[in-house]
Amino acid sequence: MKLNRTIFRLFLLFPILAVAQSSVGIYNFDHIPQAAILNPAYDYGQKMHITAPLLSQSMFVGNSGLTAFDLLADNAVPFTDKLKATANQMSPDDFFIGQQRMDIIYAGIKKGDKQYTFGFYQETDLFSNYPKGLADLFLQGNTQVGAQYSVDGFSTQANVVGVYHFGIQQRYDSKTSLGFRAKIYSGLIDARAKNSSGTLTTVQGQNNLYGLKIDNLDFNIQTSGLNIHNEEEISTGYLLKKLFFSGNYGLGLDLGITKQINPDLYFASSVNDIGFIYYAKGTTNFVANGSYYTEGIDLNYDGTTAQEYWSTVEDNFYKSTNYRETQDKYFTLRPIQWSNFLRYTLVRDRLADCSTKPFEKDDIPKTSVGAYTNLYVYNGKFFPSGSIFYENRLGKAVSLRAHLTADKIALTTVGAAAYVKLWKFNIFGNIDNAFALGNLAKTKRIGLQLGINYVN
Amino acid sequence: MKLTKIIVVTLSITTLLLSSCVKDIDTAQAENAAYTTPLIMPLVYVQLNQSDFLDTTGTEDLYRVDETDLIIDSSILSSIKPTVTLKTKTTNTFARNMYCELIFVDAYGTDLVNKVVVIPANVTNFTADLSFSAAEVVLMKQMSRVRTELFLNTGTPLLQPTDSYVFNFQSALYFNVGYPN
Repeated sequence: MKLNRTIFRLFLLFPILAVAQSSVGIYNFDHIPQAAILNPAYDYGQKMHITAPLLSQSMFVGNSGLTAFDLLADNAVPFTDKLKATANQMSPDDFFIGQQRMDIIYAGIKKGDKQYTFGFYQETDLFSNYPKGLADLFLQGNTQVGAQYSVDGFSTQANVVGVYHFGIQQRYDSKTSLGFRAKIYSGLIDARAKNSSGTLTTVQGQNNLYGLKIDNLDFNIQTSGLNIHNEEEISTGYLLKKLFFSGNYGLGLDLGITKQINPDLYFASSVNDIGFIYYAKGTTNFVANGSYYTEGIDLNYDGTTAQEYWSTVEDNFYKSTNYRETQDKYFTLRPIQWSNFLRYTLVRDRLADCSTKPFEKDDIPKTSVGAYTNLYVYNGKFFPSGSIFYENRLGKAVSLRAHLTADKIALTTVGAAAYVKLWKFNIFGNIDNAFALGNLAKTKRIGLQLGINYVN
Repeated sequence: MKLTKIIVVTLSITTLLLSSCVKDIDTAQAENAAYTTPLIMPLVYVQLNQSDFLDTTGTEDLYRVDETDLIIDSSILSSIKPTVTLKTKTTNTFARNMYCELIFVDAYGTDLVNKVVVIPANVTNFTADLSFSAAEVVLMKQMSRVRTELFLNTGTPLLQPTDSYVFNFQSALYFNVGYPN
């Protein structure tokens, strides 16, 4: 009961907790090692680093349709009325999206002109269209003859993975740096359904008062890691063990490039998670395609037993919809991100010879402006975003970056990132939607990134 | 510090920070709210003629009974709320009244609730809506099957195999499913 309530509360808070794209906040930002996770060609300018385990996190949640305030506003309007009003204004094109990432192990070392980084992080990715047909069915019921409740186009995906990674950054020439990161994925949990279809309708019956009709049902729900039979198994140790060694593995690759185009203009680009996971263990899939119609049970008074009547209905349903559960293994592609970054230097600390030492840490500009684009491809859906930013360095220990982002959720989102070096600790934070902190209940998106690194 | 403690502390601090940025909402209203979803479930239907009331020797057998498992899933039944209505429509071309009784029984065969429809002779599309009391609805949460008993009145002339009487009975259950249970 308590668990149900907790899940229910989390569900209600999803609109304010849910965020997932790579942010301009820490992309190629100062001396942050996590910037090399986003772009493996980025030289963060440290001889070595070790990230504080579990304390380096990023998350992004957003949705295109509603805010927590829409549902939970503390006013005299009954909750069910707010729920219905919110459901009415949402469409099947609305979506929820979220991503969370936590460094469990992350370290790096510089050897010669190469920078090596390696570690293991945990990542959660969520995406779902708004299931309007199902929500309407829940709120309105099926008593309206002729009303159709459709799940056409419904897609949803959620997964938790562990990622082993190893990256190398190297200068190609004095102005260009290249990098790649190899990844091995360990899929802990996965559940997905893509482009489902089907319509439920109540109709006037031919032999009975009403008929229930399911037309063009077509879905394939693939799951892995959900069939845990013993709840006592779910301990932190169990989950960590499964995260590291899930039995569901895949390979991936990040590619990156940075280029000092001229002394003032700097460009970077990266593609993350070109890869797949092969789910071979703990898979259960639910598949159906077909149509079904029932008017209830036709009593024959011929000695047919109660169980036989029900079995006939059940058999007809399974045959008509071709419904089956399988343990088939399956492949999934990882969500891919393509980022591009352009920075123009307005003021630099000293007149460095950028033609020969473009990557030295002292060459990070004092003041600069720039632009950033990101294309996030998830479950066949595209989520483009664009940002502009202003960056200022205060001495050698503090950097600030203010940014303005537009995406499918919001046209103007103001954010800020900060980097501070305290003794040998490198601390950073970023928020994608700074104004949302005034009241998170009224925002549709928010992204946060935090981290602490020991550097030398 | 153990891993679990680190996670708990981190999550607690994050939750506290985020909670301090959430204003003007009341999450308790959602937990205390009640939702109801009205549903229709086609129940049983019957199409009989005079032959069904004659035994193999041609003698009248006026009592017929049949039973079926319900299509409604037990998880839905446990959430059932008042009001529940049994909606029926009958055509009876027999020249006699028909008594139709629907008895809802549990998985062990124990009768829980019943409803009777008295159908006059020679009627077409005779409708009756039968409501269940709140007490009956509580019992219906345990129903597993429905038994349908038909009683054709005695009368004259006696039924003959060559007659062309029709008895058509249709039924549906209207009910509300509520959350929380």
